[in-house]
Amino acid sequence: MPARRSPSATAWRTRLGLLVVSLVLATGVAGGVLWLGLLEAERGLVAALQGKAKTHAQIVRSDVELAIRLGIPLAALPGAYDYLEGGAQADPDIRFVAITDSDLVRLHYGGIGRAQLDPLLNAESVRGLAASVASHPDQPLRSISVEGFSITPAPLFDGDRHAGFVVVAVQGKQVQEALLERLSGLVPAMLAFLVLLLELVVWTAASTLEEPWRRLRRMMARLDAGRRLLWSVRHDRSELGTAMRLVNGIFHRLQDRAQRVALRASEAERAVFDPAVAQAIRRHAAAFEAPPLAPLVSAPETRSDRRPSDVHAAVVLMSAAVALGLGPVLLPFIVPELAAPPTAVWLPIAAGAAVGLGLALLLRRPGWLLVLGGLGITIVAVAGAGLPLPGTGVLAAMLVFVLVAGWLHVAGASDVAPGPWLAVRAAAGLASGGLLALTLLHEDRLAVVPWLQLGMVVLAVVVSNREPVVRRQLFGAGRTTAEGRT
Amino acid sequence: MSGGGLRLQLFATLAIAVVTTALTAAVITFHLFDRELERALEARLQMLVAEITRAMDAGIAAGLDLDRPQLQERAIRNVRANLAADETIAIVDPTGRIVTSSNPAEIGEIVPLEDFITPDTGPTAGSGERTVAARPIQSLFGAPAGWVTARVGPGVLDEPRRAFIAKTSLATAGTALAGLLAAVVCAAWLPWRARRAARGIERHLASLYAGIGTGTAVPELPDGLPPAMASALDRFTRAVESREHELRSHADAVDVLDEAA
Repeated sequence: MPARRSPSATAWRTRLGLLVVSLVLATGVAGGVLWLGLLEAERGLVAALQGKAKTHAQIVRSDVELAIRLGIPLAALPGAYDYLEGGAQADPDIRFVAITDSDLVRLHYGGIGRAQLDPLLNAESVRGLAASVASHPDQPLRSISVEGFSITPAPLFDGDRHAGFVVVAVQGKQVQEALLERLSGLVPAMLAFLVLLLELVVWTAASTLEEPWRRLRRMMARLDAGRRLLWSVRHDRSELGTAMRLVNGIFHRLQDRAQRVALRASEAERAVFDPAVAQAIRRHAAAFEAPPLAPLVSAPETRSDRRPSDVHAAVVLMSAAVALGLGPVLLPFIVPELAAPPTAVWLPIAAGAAVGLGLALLLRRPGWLLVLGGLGITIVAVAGAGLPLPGTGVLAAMLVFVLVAGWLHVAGASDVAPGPWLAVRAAAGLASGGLLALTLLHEDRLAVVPWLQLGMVVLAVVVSNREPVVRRQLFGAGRTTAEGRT
Repeated sequence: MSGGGLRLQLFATLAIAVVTTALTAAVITFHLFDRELERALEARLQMLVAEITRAMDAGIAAGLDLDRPQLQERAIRNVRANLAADETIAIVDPTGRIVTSSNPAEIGEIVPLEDFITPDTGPTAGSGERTVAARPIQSLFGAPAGWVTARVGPGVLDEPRRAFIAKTSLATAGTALAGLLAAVVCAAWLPWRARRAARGIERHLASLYAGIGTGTAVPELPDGLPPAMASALDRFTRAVESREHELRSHADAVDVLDEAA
């Protein structure tokens, strides 16, 4: 038996394809930018570490020269291994510290093993650099890259006589490892990004294919069933939008013809004198009073075409923005090592939620509720990163605002179970916002929170205010629209 | 999402994904670089502070006084070459007076001791400087004989940061552009099945619309539609045909009756 493919299966296929393509593109772009960025970071950081290597070399040189001045031969420095190894162990960026004679022959060392160290000391470029810095005690120290190591030789002098070198090395690979270790700390933010990307894909598939597809089928099914015609009140310029306009046109032509025939029958009935003929004509006119022709002479249904995608982005983004704001306050309850949780935080949250619910039910205008929510978040965001307790109350109010606004819109939409739909969207938004907050808290970057919130809020409002019908439904509506009329 | 065909709408989504990803990745690399840069700076200055403190501790243990110029000079002589423009290393006495510094202009100034007890707590008011490392100099009697401190100005990392941003922004833009080009290709290819179905429906409905009232034959259903949509479109086409037929038969019957009367 062949697999049954429905329009929604096509939409699902497109959704899956879009998800895969988005993920591949996002991974490719992220990989490219991260790779190039980390290479550049490594270069910049190796330069910074070279400064540290020079400092370390000078400190060791100062100590060793003191020993030389005390008459201790360079080859017989007591405790040199412990001293050099201790320095290398204390700072993981320093890969090795060696003391050599004036021919760069290793006398003492700490850090990586001899097998790796000796070839580096014998490298031509290192010998050349060492010879150039050994000419005078006041020569500025310089570094050279050899086989992934950045090597800094510092000459040792016994009076004016060149006695040997202190050689210190840092390694680019160490920098790479440190960067990658830090990168692994950003996994929660990457997960948040994935959740948002998934929501973007779901939203696109719904608004572009699934919802217009369903609306078109319902319009066509109405005529087939002989029920009141369903008029399309919103159609974009895509192929499906054009198809819906054409169905409107077909309805219009059929209605026009039906009304003409009904009018003609009514006129003929009045014009004839023979009661039998009038009765026969009346039988034909009566056909327009019952299905399937009755819908063609009555006004079509122009119910507001509410679609969950109208508020999808707003619910996700604003929930994420609220979670970002609440995260620093609430996360310590979940991850105790982050910071000491403030006491009595639940009272302002509960009070804010109650206020949000009251206002939302009072206004019943989803668009304005979203804007109000955005303004509230903006005020709290700009007021400061400290998030005083009243701020948590305002954010709680905004969250309830947004959820109620979403409910008011989605409850009037068809083909969706408002509760589960809203729960999934809100959960996605809260999860992504919470993960971002967790990352920013861990990375000590809370100053970024207000800007992220602002970006999300602006995007949410812009996306919700996009086409005239949606704008009317979300912003211009009173109770009438809330009950489903345009 | 409105406006444009399916391809344009899918491209918009892919473009959002590409640009947002590129920006996020760029911000992440900057964050990683910045944190490691700060760590390297602080580690270097802490190393210098530790070294000076060691020298001062030895001097104090040998019975020298904190204010002795030779001791101060011996301690900070080696560090000057290792300091950048916005970095300052100073030796402070227990009252907070700077007794010597890599920046001679600030010798004699009084600085708040709290900065040394809890270093790196933020910029000191006014100057924007912050203390990144501080160590007490031990006296023979337990209480600190003074402090060795390292402070940095607000712009100490500006240059490497600017250099990093300049270099990575070009790479980010290039990668994002390549991603956008790939998005164009994917958006053109991805909705081909949905687009083929939608265009078939569109053409079918257009000819159905044009045929109403003209008595022309009902158009054939397009190929390649998903079965459920093909069935819905078929039923719709038959319903339109049936309404047309009924309307025509009623109109003809009324005409005949009217003329007969």
